[in-house]
Amino acid sequence: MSKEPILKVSHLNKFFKVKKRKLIEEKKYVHAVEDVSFELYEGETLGIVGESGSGKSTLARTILGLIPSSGGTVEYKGQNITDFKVSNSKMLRSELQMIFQDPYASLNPKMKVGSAIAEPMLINGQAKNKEEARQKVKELLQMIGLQPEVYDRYPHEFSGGQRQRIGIARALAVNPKILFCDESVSALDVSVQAQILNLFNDLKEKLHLTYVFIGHDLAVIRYISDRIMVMYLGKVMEIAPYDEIFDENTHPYTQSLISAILEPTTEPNAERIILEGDIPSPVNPPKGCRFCQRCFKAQPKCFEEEPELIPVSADHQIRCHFAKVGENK
Amino acid sequence: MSRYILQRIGRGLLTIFVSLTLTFFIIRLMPSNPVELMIDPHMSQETQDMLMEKFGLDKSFGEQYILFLKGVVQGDLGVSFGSRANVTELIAQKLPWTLLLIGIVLLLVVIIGIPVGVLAAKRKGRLSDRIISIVVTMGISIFIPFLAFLLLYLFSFRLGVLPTAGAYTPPKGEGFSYVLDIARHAILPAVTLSVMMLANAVLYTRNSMIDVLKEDYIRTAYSKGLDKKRTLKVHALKNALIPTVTVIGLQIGVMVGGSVMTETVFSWPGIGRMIYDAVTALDYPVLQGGFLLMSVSVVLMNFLTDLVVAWLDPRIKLGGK
Amino acid sequence: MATIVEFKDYSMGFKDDDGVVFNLLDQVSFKVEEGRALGIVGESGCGKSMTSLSMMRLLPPSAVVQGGEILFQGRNLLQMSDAEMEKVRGKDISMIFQEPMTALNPVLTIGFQIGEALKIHEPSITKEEQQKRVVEVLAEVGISNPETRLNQYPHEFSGGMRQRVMIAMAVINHPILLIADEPTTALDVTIQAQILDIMKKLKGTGGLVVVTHNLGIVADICEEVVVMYAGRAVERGTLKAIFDHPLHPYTQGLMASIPTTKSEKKPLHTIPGTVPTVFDFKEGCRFADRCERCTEECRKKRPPLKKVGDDHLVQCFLPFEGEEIVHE
Repeated sequence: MSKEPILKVSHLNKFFKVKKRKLIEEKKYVHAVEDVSFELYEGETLGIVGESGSGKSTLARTILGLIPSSGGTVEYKGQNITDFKVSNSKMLRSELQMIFQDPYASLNPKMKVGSAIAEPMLINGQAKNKEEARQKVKELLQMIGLQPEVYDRYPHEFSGGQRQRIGIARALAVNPKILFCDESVSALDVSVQAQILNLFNDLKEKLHLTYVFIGHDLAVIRYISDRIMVMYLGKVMEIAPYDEIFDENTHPYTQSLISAILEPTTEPNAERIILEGDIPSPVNPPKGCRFCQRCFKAQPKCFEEEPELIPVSADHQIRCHFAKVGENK
Repeated sequence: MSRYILQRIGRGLLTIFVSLTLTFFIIRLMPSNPVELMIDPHMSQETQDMLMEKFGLDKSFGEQYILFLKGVVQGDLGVSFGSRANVTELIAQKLPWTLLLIGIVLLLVVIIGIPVGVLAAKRKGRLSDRIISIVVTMGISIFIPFLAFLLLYLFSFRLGVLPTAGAYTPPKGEGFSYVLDIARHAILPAVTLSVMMLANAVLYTRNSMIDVLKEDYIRTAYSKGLDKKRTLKVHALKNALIPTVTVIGLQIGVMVGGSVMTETVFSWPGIGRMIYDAVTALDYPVLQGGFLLMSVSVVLMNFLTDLVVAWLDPRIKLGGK
Repeated sequence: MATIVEFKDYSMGFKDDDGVVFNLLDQVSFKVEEGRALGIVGESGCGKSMTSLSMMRLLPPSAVVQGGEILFQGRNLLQMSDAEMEKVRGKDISMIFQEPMTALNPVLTIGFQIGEALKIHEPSITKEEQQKRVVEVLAEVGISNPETRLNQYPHEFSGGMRQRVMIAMAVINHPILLIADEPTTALDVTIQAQILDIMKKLKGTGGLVVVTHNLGIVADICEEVVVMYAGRAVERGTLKAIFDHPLHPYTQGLMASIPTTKSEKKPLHTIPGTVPTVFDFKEGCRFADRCERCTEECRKKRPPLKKVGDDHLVQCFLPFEGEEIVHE
């Protein structure tokens, strides 16, 4: 891991306007992503966990310029690429790719999978002509564990796991440096999920990739990630190395997420933390700490004053009034 | 809610205004002139000019338009070029006859169309459903004037069991026999008008019912121990009616002025017939009145349809909250 | 311990448009005892949902029962008339479905929908009594202000709240058997924890069947387990037997391929290939193509059902210590 970040996100915001229903009404915004800053280092996997409304998917889409940001900057290799407004952004853009939960939805059902993978190569100039593209696609298919012969088949002929492999091949077609995987293994059967997770790790080594891995299953995220970022209602609650996330000095929300993990063992569970109530709407986030309404540690202060992200050790930050600085290893 | 109603009225008025303006100019751009149609070619130029002045046609389009709008606001739609009758009164006289037909059509939709659609959905794929589907397809694709003439030929000329024209046998009768007489006259036009409406009602009810029966909440209803009948009645029908109501509501709005063909064939003294006569005579004031009525009824039915749909579906909040 | 429901060599399949029947569930046998929770686990297409719908007799129209019995308190559900079945559904056997978003009727209030489950089985109940019972059950599943909430429609509830409503609807008649089909799959992690907590509290004297793909949920809530693969119950026994000493190569592979909070950062164990669909099922063991220990015999005929120890059954040709063949 080099110390120079490959991607630097600073104070990134994304607000969605809520449609006004009345003529005279205050404008309302969904605070989907608010003041998110983090650095991504070459060769690492950053896991992002959160529940619905946490803004984890919106964050990835905003970084990739798929939706315009509402403030803040994104720097890739030292260049400002926020919303990809700069002239050489097309080339840079191809170096950041996204893999979705359901690759079937993003594949044209009437297009052969080989052509679907070749298409971005031809557009971006990774292949000069169709012949070369065909050759490269076949190599790619082999690399992701499919027979090159599947080139001429259609998306519906594949199972969920195979489709996810095709989705990965398509993202890899343009030689990306960073892959954003949005719930990329969530819809897969357990036995297939393990295959795809292994594939991600193999590819990372082979192609020197950097991953941002978004998910809701903390056990999976912990397995695949080097560092984990926990989001709640649009804000970063904690960033920590994967093994420190299970320590005692963590955010109460992280603790409840960990407590909710259902391990497939007969060993008795520790007393589970059951949070009260529903996840609040990101339209009216609570005053004070975002998590105050459901937090089992909340004090009057938490409802009044929003805590900062406090560094508790070299690469561990917690947004909590009660985080203990310097107590981690 | 009151804000919503105000908004709807505002939008409705705007729609009516735009359609009024359009019809006003379109009928004046037609390549003919009412005076030319009604006058003797030998009539002197002076008499012609006098007539033109009397109808207000000597003024510029702009002036005519302003005068027309003023009239509309005051509820005065002018005087018919042909019969010299007050257009507002004329409409008031014709409208009940058209509404009578529409009432019969609506009744048929409710007591026949919707139940048949439900039945077809319940028996999807079986013989009865297939027969219903064939009949419905015929109903939708049939050329209405052709059907009108066919019915007229069969029941009035060949069999002679039903009257050929009008809404009643003159002179106007009284009491029950009068009602019966009107009913006999209304059968053929009502049937003709109902055909497409019924076909649509059956089709939409059937299709949405089939979709609804596949919904998870239908399975939930069965899982509580409900029988088929209650599941259909309580859990499926209300959901399935939403598209049917939308379609029928909009069509009814159009029907107020739109049954020109049917009313003409059966000489039914309603709005459709009035518009037909006005078109042939280029009777501008009557035409304008007819089109005004049409746009008002479309706007009104739109609004009513939305109210009914919102009552059926609690997810729809009128005007939002 | 009385048996609440027992599957005896139950087989079912699907008829395609040409009338050809494809077998899905093949001689499935297991039972649910009083006061016990049984987890049916398996991946997509293994037939776990069809197993639960079979108990409700709510199979899709293309389904065909091919043999066997489903005994509910000794009575064969498969031979009951529709009217008899309607008396059982929602009263003696209730079900909670996966999708809380679509499983409730959008145009009816939740008070009506829950109350209906009561009224249909107790037609003489008064309006006041019905309302009282609905309020009670809503409070029981953790819905605050039940008196006002019951006049609201499903769209006014969050996903987690709707699943609570579903549970309330299913338990209002105190069923003897409660079936939960993927009850938390569509929910967020912290909400899932809430729902599982409620289900554990409601686990009473009756039987509970939890159908899920998530082994963690089974470990959390069940005492007995049936592992299904491609329409067959390949292994069954107590939670401890299955989770601590899995015998079937599929169960072993499945357990090993799940990342846990203690997994090392090395490649996960994988089962090669993909889950077969009903059209790919073959004569012999249905797991044979993906099994590392597959032999010639495995491909030829159905593996025998063996009893290994007191409370552990497995359907596999592999030799196990102390095995006893139950049936070929």
